[in-house]
Amino acid sequence: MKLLSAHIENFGKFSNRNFDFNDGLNVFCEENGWGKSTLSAFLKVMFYGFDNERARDEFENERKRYKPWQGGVYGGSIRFKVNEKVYRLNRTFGTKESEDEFLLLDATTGLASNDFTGNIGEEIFSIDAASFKKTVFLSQNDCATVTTDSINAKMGNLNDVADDLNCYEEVMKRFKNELNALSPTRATGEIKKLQDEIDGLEKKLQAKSVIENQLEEQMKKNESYREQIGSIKKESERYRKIQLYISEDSVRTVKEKTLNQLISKETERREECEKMKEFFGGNVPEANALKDAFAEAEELRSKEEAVRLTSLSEQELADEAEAKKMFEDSKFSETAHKEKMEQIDRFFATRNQYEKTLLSKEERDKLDDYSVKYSETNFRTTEIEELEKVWQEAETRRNSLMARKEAHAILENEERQVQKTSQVSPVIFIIPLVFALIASGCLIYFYVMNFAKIYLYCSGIPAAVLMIVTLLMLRHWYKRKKEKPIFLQSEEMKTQIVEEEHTIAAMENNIVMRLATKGLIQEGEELSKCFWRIKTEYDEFGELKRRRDNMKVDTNIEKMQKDATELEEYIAKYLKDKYSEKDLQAVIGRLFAQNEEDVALLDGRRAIWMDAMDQIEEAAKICALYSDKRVKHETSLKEKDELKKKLHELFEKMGVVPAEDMMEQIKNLQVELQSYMTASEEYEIAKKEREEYEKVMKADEQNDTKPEGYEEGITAEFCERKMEACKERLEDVTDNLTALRNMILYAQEQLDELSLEEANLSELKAKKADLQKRFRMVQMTKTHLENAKTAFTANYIGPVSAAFEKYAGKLDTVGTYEIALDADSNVTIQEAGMPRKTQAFSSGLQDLFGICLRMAFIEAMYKEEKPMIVFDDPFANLDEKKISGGLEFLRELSKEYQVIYFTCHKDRVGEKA
Amino acid sequence: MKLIHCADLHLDSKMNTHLSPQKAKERKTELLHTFARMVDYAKDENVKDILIAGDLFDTRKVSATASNMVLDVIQKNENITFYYLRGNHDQNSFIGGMEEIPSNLKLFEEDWTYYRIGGEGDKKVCIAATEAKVEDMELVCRKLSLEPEEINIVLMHGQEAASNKAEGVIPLKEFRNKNIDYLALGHVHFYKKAELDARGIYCYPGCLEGRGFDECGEHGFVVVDIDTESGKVNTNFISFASRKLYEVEVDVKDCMSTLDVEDKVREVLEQKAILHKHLVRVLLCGERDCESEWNLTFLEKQFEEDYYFFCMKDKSTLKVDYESFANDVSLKGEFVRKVMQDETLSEEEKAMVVRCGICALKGEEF
Repeated sequence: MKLLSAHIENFGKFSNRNFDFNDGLNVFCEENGWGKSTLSAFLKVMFYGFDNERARDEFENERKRYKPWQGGVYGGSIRFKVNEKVYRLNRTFGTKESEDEFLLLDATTGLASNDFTGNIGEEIFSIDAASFKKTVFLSQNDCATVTTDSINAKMGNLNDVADDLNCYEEVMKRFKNELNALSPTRATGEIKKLQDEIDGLEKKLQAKSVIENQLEEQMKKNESYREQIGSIKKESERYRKIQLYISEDSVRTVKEKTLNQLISKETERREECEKMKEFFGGNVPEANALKDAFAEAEELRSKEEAVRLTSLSEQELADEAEAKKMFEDSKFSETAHKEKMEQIDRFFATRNQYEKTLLSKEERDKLDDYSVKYSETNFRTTEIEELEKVWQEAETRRNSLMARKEAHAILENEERQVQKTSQVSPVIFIIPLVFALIASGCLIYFYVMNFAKIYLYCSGIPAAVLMIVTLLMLRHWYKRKKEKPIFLQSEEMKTQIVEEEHTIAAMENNIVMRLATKGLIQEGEELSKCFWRIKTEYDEFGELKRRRDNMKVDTNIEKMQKDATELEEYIAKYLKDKYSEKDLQAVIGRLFAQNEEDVALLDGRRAIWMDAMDQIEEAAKICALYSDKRVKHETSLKEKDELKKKLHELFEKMGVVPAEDMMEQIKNLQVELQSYMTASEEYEIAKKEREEYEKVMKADEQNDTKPEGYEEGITAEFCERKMEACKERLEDVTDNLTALRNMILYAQEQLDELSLEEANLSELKAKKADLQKRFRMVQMTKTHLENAKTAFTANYIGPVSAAFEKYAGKLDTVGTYEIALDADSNVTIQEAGMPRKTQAFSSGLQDLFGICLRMAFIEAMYKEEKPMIVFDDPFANLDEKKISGGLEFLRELSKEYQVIYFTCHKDRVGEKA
Repeated sequence: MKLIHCADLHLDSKMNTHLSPQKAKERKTELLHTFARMVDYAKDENVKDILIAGDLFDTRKVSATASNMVLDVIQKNENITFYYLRGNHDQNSFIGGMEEIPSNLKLFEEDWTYYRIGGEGDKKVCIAATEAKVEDMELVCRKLSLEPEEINIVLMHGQEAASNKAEGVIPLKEFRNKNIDYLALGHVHFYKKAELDARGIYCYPGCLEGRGFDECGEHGFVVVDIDTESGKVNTNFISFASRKLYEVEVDVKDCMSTLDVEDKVREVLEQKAILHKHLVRVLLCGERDCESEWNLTFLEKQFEEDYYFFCMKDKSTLKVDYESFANDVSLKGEFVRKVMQDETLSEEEKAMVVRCGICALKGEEF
């Protein structure tokens, strides 16, 4: 790789500066402050960007440090050659990395190139910025160097696996951390902690066997207490039985006494039963039989009552006889009777209907009046019609007269106006005529003089209009003058009107007079009303007459006659004294009655008929009733006898002589029977009690063996005391048992917890074993990795050592020392029998060692594509002798490498530079 | 006549080995519920006797809930007789805490205790057991006296062995030719049935519900069907657990990443067709490439919703192609060569160290 040129747009103090670079040694000897470090920094920044971007200090932060003071575009470009291809790299820088711009061009074509990215430094040199500064780029007072992973990787040509070495330190750190975390010795180590926990648990579990033994003891004791309780209970039971046995002697006596009581009770009940049985003569009836008998007796009683009730009294017999007489000749039929009742209703209904057709008094008076007024002699319809016609004519004329009157009034009005009009002078027409003439004259003049048409129109039109108006007015005036004088018309009309009025009045008077003569008009009555009234009355007169005439031919009369006759005959059939021919005729005669007195009499007949009908009906009912009663009586009698017979049989069966009042007798029997049954039940109960008691007694006698432990002389009190003692002991043991059970529960709980701890302990041990396994594994891995790294780096340390020696040999001063390079590329110098670090020597020597080492690295790293090497005044610390050595070294170096050498001192340039 | 033979119910067990506290509580309740269901099954199938061959409870201190629930079930099923042989986990407060032992709960003592059941005309069934906890079962078995005409069932709790003498061990030899038709054992948590002698068989019904991944597969109880006329005894294992545990191996030899492993695991699980309600543990096994890397926590999360409980364990081993590193000029290559040369390390350790180093160099978790 070779630098060809650089252009700084603005960088540090440089602005718009160009630099060219040749092969071999490029010397920049400039005074202090020229910007050598700035230029070398520019070269580094163009490939690797800025260092310390996050530093706040403006000197530490390269971006800030080299920001152009003068402003402008911050950046520049370089031309360089890699693999025989020339590139141009343009970079500009902003206030932060994101604002930076990167542009790589193929210098030949001028086109953008993608051969390298913004990480161009690493891509070209295959090392990071730090490694670049440790090798290719040697800044002022920074000659010393050490290897880095990147350098090591590069030196091993292991670009593809650089990651391994690059992260080796990190891996070692992780291993170390892991080992610390797991450590079995450190207090914070997991294995240590686990072990402590395990120790704690083991100690805790030592108590388990003790608790187990305790529990076993307690369980045994538990059993023992339970046995004791059982034994105490048995003992108590034994004494109870003995006590019972002892007490049974008195109990036996009591039992016998009780038995005797029961026996005597049973005997009593039995005797009672026997006694009661005697009442029935040894033959106790059944309750059902008595129940049946009682029912029969009840029935008999009711039958007797029925017989009594159905007997006819003397009065009833008399009434019956009386009633029967009525029907001696003719039997009563309810249907026929009912028909007759209906006939009565029908008769009077017909009568009422008929009455409606009769004329009322008022109507009769009217009829009388009309008969006179509208008699044939007095009244003829034709005459009245004529009169009415005349009247209508008069009315018509009256109406037209009214119209003429109105016309007359108008005429009078016109007359007045005409008079006004006739006073108008004809002079009035001269004015418009004069105007007309003037307008006409103007028209002619304009026409003759050939004035414009507008003038003709202005004069012609008014002239024509005026002329027409004047002519019309004249015509009207003339016409009016020609008409007949209006006042004459008015007078004529007036006369006519008066005449007409007279005529009309005469007509009306005539009509009134003629009507008055006939008595058809009332005083002061208007003719229109009169004629209307006459018509109405005449119609009414006609109607009344018709009704009156119809009355006489109404067929209902026949019917009523027939009904009345039949009714009378019917009554007469049964109630002869009620019948009278005379009455019948009177009734018929009164059918046409139109006065109140006759009507009342007719109504009275109705009452008579109704009364008669009632009597007949009543008699018929009596007959029927008593006949029915008689039948019932006989039936009841028969039934009663039968019942009596039946009861007697029942009594006979029961072996009882029936009393008079059998029902009462049966009641008594029932009561007695109930008493007997009660006594019998009591007897049975007493008997059962006795038998059961005898059974129990028998059973007790069978079990009546001496209980275990019984001895003669033992008393019930002794047994009682013993049982009390047992009770107390039982309570004690129970209390102990309860307490023991709590202890057992507690022990079991503890053991369960310890079992859990045991399980936990196993888990912890397993976990510890796992962690120990892991710990060992990580240790092994770390050790082997360390060994691998040492072996691996040692593989390439050879070339570095050789190169170092070569370059050290070129530097006379350095070559005199016995120098060694270890696997970590650390330089040691054998001095006074011991390998010494370079830091023990002068700065100048350290710088030289550093330079040799750098070159050794570069030689090992770059076998083919050699990089440029930037030296920024590396010999600042050297003395003259060493400087010349150094310069010579540079020259030698420049035969192989492009070297860019910055210095501020001519002495550090040399003649041949 | 039918009986139910069950054992190792471990009721009231904490169940918190893998499960969250809430799920542990659920499982604990399910365990009790399964016991109740078993008794309902007995009722429905007209089973009148239930043999509990030990470890009814898990802890010494039985919670009131469990204790009351079991007692309640026993008391409510008066027509069923429970024969309870206490096991090594049963030194508890269940019996000791009872005021009165229900009449249908039969216990056994240190001496051989015999219960005889059966109707008229049929062969009697004798149920015998002892609570003796001694090392020398030979002495205990000598005292066992069973009628040859009867159908004899013996309950024991312990690990079967040929002839070892130790407490809690059932030396089968001592139970042979003792007229035993059915040796009802408890202690082993898996179903097993085998011949005891020419006459009888022995059987472990296994536990009623699996509690950990060391108890995968079917669990339940055994129905013992006895023909009281002929004396023939038939058994039938009834799978009854409400949830099963599955441990599934998945070979991850071709997997390089988390997603690869996920796909592989999913493929295998789909083939197994395990129901959602069960508990699953996946074991990653096989030789994996040393450059492979996956996140177990992420993988567990991907499947945890698919089952009642899901966990994963990586049992895979690293496959290191040491030959490929022979000429690898890199730190890694050098490292691998150094490890290979270390004779103090086993092959497995070498693989682990290599994997650790390579992962560390890659900046990954080691």
